[in-house]
Amino acid sequence: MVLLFMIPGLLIFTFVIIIPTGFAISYSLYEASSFVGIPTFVGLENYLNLLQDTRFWRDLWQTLVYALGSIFLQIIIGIVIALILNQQFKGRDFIRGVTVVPYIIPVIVVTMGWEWILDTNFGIINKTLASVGLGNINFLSMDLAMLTSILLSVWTWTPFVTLVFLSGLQTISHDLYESATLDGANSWQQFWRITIPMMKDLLITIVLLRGLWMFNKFDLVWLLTGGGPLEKTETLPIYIYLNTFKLNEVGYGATVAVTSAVIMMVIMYVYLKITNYSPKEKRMKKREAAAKKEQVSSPSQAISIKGDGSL
Amino acid sequence: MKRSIRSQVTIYILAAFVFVYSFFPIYWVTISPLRGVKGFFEDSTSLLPTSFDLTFFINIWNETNFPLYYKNSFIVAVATTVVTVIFSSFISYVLTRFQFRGKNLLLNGMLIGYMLPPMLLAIPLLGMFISFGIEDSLFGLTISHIAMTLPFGVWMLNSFFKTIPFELEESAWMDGASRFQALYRVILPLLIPGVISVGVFSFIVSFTDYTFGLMMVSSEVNKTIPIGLAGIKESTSLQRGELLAGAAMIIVPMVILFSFVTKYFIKGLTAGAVKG
Repeated sequence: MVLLFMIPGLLIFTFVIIIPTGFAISYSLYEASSFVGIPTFVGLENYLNLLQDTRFWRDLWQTLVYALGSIFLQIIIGIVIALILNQQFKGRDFIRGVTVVPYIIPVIVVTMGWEWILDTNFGIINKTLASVGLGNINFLSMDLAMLTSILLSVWTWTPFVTLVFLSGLQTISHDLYESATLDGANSWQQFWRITIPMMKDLLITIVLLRGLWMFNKFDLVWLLTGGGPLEKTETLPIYIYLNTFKLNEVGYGATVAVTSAVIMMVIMYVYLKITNYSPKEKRMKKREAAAKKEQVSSPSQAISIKGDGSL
Repeated sequence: MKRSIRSQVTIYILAAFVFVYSFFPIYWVTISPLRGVKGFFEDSTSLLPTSFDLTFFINIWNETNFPLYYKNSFIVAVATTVVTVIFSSFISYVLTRFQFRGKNLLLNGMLIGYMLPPMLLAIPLLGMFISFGIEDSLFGLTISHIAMTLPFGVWMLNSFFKTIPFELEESAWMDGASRFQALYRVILPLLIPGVISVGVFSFIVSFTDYTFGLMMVSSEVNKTIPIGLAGIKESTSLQRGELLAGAAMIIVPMVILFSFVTKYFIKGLTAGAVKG
């Protein structure tokens, strides 16, 4: 009777997640030029080819540049905006709502809008630069395309960091800051000694999630540059798409997809090891904290309980 | 504790900066096409709206399949939302209220599902859809969107359901309510904010999706807005102004509708991000 509740949901889950994952692995062992033809089993040949595929390795490097660059800036800008939005001022709720907007609009609108703003001849930025005597900058040129892709990604996905960090900030007790002020700590010291340590677990989670998503991001770069110019911004998701849908290499596309998923999981594993993220330890700490009846609760715990009613 | 006037002013300046940073591109996309054919390039640096000319808007609405794309996007997004909300609630309810073998495996499976690269899922899904004969259809596209939203929904609701004390349900049973009555009368009202959050999130993910749409749908009649607008951009018959008018027609209603549910979206986002 209990499981009756779950059967339809589990069926969907199996159908859309588990079976496709299995299929993806099996596809990677075949050579197939399209989805309808009869594939030839080639064993690990695709994987051996991949090892010697310089385009794959270059794209992996470009994916890492794109992902790490955009995560880094998202975290910095996200935290700065969250700290601003955590202050008291009139219209704060309104501004908080507005900061989410870049995150919810379709990526095609983001790229079209920014292409217009950054347009070499008629964009407001270049026209303004021209009026002070600076030359026209082509933001999608060989040298700048990757940077532009990163910056637009930062604009679009920073709100996630802002909101999650902000919701964590609201769980830190004011008393901590007040007593620190009495002890003569300035806000810079308070940020590094109170805010960051209190937010450590949450930050680890934020970096993890954003990392996963940026590593797999396809739409923004594809819509902005199509991987160009001269494949300068081609990331692994774009390479997978091209193999599968343009180069008629469905099997090889699956090989790249599986390999990139494995690489990502290895990176995540190492990341979690380095950051020493251990749920067990966290639970122990929580128990200790509860025993001492401290008023300050661990941010990640408090968020799931209190939600963000005040946001 | 009163803050000094200077620090107050600083905060307002910073807040204004955040506002401009987040909102200027949206504003710019909306007012630029309103300048019409004549003003579009001429006035392209004046920060205020210069005219109210709907030519570009009328053009894209009449000369392309824009209205059809809009309709398709709505159908897919609504279907995705309904399915996600119903099934993620069922699964999360069972996961948080019962102990059984393989429970953690299931929960971690959901988390991994939520993190899988879209490309990894899309290729085999398309293969499966072709063998079922549902490729290039709104039905198939909806299923692929559910692959994104369902794991998230379960994960989010799971952390949400945990915050509702089980004792509430038990005391309802004591008073003679059946499991379903307890669920319906006592628990459901408490769940509504979480369920709305999942709904809003699913709708936005589905409505704005480009990646799956690009791969799952190829014929004109089945295109959703992001795919359709990107397609219009490829074809050279329409100009910059019309494209931006199309973009504005997507974001203006979205932003207005979103302003009513911001609270729920933020709640869902932050709850889902935190391992509960």
